[in-house]
Amino acid sequence: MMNKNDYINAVDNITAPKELLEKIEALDLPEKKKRPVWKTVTAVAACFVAAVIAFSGIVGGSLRAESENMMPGNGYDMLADSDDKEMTNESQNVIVDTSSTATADRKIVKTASLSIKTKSYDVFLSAVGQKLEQYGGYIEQSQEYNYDNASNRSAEMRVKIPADKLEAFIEELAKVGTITSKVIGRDDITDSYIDVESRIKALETEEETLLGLLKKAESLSDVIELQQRLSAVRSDLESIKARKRSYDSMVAYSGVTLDIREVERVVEDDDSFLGEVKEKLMNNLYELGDFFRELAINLIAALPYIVIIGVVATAVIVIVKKVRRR
Amino acid sequence: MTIFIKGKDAFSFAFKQFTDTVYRVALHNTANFSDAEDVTQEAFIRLLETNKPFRDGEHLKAWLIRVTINLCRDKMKKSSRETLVENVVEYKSGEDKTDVLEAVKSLPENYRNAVYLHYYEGYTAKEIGRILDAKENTVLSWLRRGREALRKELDGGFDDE
Repeated sequence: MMNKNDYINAVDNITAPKELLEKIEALDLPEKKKRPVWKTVTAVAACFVAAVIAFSGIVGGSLRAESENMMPGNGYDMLADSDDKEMTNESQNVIVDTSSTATADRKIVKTASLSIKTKSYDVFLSAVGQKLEQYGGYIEQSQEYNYDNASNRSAEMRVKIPADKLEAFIEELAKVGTITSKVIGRDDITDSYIDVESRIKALETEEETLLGLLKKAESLSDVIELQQRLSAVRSDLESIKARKRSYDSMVAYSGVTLDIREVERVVEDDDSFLGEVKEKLMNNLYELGDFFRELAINLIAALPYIVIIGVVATAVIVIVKKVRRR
Repeated sequence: MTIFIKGKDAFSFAFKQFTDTVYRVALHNTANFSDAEDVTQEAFIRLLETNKPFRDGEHLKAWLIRVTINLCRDKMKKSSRETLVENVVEYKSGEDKTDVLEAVKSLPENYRNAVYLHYYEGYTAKEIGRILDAKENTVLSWLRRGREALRKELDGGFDDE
């Protein structure tokens, strides 16, 4: 016999190994820029103001619309966002600097991985196809799943898009669906690329030398030996050229992974106070709607019983009245 | 007044409190220990990188679980480009399972995570719905079907009676 207690015991026995704990403990990111004091003060003040407005809005009811206009999120989040933007700008500047001081032509492989939620799944998929065509991209692989029912479809796509069109492509997708997570990768392969190029040059020089020797060769054994070495050099050359071609296409085309999920409603991940209130309110309204729909369905489904109970009840009432009259 | 935790504070709090949870979720959703360890580490890297303020430990825990499941999904997709592995453990039907953990791992993704979060972590269907982004009723049906599958696979099952 096995039951959930066995399961709980089994899971209890799973603990993170010591090496893993050490690795995680050692994790550290480069010290981020400290948030200036005045920003923290403003953030706290904005939080307070937002909370007061929201609170009075709920209590009074009248201020509600006003407060939502004034504060789309709370002050904290807004400042955090602007902080993020500053940081990304800085890091982009750093990248530009290195590329201008080093070789002019850096080989950068850009990749993106997007999770998308959409209410109109079919429209979104056709928009993806259309944008790919427009930007000269293509679908590398595509899988669609349909788990329980038709309103829960999902798809995983791997597409290639010309690298210079990547940002525009993502922007277009954001217009038709809700991007819930976005990971952009930038991999600098300049060193490997230069390595491959110089290997090609070296092998080509060797090939020429061998050909020159082959022309001068006199004995049959020399010819055979040279031919063997030549074919080895040529096969090396082929494979390394193939690698260069694949590097070229990786640089020219960005790989984008799309994880598309169909949802009935898109819930924004808004952690501000008002956002939470709004989300809860929307959830409750949605559940209320659901409740009435199910109520209606159940009522209709129960009609036969209701009719029978009605008939029986009427009969009982009629009989009782008759008995009383006597 | 809500106090937020974020950044380094959130990281060290999570490291003390939730490392095992993250590792357990990862182990439920990957094929082997080394993948689970990779995912666990990655989840903590994500936590370091995020600037997100957390309301409290539970908020942080739910966020970590969600991130971990997503990372596992990416990992499993990467490790099998051609065919998506829906089940982390493949079993022939009818084969007797002696390991209750393996039996849970052989369930479809949503079922197995719902089973773990409910029976081990003690979350309610509503809370699981928030973490896995599903409706309460959907989670209840995952749990029901998960139990049914486990009853078939195991001599015993997970019934609540």
